[in-house]
Amino acid sequence: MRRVSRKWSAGAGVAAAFALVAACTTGGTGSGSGSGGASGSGGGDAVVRTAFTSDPKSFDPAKGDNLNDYLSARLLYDTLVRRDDGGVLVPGLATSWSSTATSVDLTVRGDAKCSDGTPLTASVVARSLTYFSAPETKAPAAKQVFGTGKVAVTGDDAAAKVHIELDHPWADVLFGLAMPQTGIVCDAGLKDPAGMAAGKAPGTGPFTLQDAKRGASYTFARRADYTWGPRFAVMPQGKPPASLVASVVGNESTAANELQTGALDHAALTGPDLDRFGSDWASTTLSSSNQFVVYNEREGHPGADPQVRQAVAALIDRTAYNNASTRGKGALLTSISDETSPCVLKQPYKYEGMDAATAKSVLNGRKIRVLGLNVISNGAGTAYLQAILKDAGADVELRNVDLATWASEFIGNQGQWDLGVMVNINLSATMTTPGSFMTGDSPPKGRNIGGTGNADYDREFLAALGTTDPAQHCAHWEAAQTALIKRYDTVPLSTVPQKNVYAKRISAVTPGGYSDLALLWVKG
Amino acid sequence: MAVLDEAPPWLGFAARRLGGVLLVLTALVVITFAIVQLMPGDPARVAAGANATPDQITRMRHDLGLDRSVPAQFVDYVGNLLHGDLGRSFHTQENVADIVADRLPYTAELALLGIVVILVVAIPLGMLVAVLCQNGRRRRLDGAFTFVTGFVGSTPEYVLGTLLVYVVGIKLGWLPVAGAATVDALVLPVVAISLGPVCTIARIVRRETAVVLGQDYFRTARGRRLPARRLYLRHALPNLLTSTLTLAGLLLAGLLGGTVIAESVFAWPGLGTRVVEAITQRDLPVVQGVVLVLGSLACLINLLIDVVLGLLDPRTLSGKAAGS
Repeated sequence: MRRVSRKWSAGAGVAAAFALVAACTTGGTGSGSGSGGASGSGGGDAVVRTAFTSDPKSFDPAKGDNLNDYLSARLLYDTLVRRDDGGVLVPGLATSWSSTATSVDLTVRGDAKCSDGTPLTASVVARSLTYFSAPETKAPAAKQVFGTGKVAVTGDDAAAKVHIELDHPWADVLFGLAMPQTGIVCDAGLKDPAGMAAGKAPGTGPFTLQDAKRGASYTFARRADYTWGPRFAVMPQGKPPASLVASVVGNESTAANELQTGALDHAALTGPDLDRFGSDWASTTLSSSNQFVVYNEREGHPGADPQVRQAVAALIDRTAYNNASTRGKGALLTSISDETSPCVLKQPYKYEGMDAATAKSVLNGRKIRVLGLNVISNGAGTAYLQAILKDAGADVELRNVDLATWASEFIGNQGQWDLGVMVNINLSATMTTPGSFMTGDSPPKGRNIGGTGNADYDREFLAALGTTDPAQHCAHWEAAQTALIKRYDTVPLSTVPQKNVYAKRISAVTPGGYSDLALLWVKG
Repeated sequence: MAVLDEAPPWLGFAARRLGGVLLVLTALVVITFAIVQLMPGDPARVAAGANATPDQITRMRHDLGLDRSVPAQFVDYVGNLLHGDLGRSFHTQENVADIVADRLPYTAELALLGIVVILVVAIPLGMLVAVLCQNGRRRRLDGAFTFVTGFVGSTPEYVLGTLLVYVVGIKLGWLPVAGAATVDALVLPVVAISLGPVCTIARIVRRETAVVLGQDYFRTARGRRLPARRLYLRHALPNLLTSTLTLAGLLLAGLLGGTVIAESVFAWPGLGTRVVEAITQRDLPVVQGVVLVLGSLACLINLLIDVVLGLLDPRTLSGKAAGS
């Protein structure tokens, strides 16, 4: 009997140890909550709850390379200008500006401060932009904003003026300065890059990062001293929240569940779950990205042959692609950007030339490696492309890869591919953002991912960037886009729609067609 | 030999088990080191990013020590591990040790609570059904138990999780559907990961109990007209714990590394989703670190279970199978 008793004691001890450890860890989590609130009535009116799809990679705006980085950069750092509907620029940290094709002059507002209380001067702005443009910073958007040449930024504190000088024409700089990656960072952040990446450096935006639990949630507190900020043509009703909690929710269905049960006030949905939110929910549908075909036109690849490009273009049914990729929810593109870009082609894309039978004979027996991105409907769009190419008798190898691999192999041109679908988030809404992928040097020196060599396009591209006159600028861009389509360098596909759904108590606006969490306000 | 035969059984047991643990840990270190060597592509290129120039990639290769010989890299790797340095994430530049420290408590919380629920529910349930249905009595109850545990036990975790979210979270609104901010947010994920194993273990306990109830020693104990509680808790339970605890140990090790689906459905910030994210991003240091930590934990859990089994049934110390 004694032996049995000892055995039982041991078993009970193990169970008690498990329970004790579990109780300790549960207690830790519980006490760490607070502002988020998991139930619908948990959050007060001063808190807005939204979702990140993953942890921000870096809170240094210059290092941002994904949507969660951009969203948090908007909260922590203001940009010099902001883009409103219709491609109109409105003041941000700059109150006025003027530009030529090779220079920009801006006047910095006098009342803005960093969150550590230091004044925001023209020289602070100059140092911030110099940091952004420096090659050693490796800012992914630097070439997009300033082009591939040299940049010099100077600040005159007495006159509150900032001067940007380029050694090459790049007329879209002002629109680039509206992108969240160009958020103005303070001197304290430049002295402490690691702190800035962790969100601990003072910022110039409306919020500061109050608490970060990687993988779980991020709490941003509204700055009491923030009295400036952009005024868009349409502003949200009510007032900004005292804090904003962004939970990390990787699974879109889970975000939809949380929105439906009131645990979230806002979520951005792109998949089938957006059908769960009908007209009884306030929502805004935006174009999260634009898809278009890019060929690897380098020597030895099938895309080097214009006939192959023409044959592929002849066989693609863009509506069928849109159905596969976005369940038909996307809009068919006219060119390499969507309608938010002022200079995009207005007339619908129309294929002219080769008939289907000839196209199939051109592609029959060709080896074509298709590279796609698995985050858009698990790569259903590129699976459609694979099907039509196979049907034409081509020997097709399809790889739908994750974002990091895709960025490296496709955008960085480090992989073996012949045909890819570009999924472009065009934050500047300029034609330059997608257009720079089709001209110039190959990566890493330039952005020409397919090695496209279209002389007409190159000429018009440079001409468009050489003028700030809106009419001329758009005329050159239209000619450039036409040249791309005429040479079968691309096939415009569709937008990827993103439905931003809001709880009833939230008032939100999306100026310029982009989501900004700082513009999620509380009604009343 | 005579000395070994006369040594206390715990000594041989400890030597065998510690030897096994060391062997497994060594294998883990070698395998995790080999991940970087065997993965296709250039880790320096991945770490430097898509926009890196050849010079920057070369610098990154040097910084990561990848331009050194493989043995030299291995010595560095082991040296760093001994200093608690698991490296830095290629993607976020975070210390991998910090990532593990941030995420492991969440995963451990879920797994430990899950295993407690599994044991607390499955053992009494299996014993109760075995006692009620012994000698062919209550055939309907036995059939219902077999059907329900078979059905629920074979239902995939993501189906159970989704059903729980829909019914309990969305339709009834009783519990949060996701997140880790409040204690009640634990309920649905714990239930989702526990239901299947509860059914499996309850079936095992039911069968083991039936065997124990038919043993001579148990019939003798029953003949002494002991109270039912004492009879089953003192004479039946300890003898069926061996296989149950062994399975529970394996389950716990599996739960620590394998709650990916539950973590995804319930937005639970554990290690499982983080390592999947790292794999898709080819963030090799994170994959290495997490595999190493989870593997070591699994090894230690198995050691702990062996010790507990040794306490419960000293015959296992000598390596002999526990008989009935």
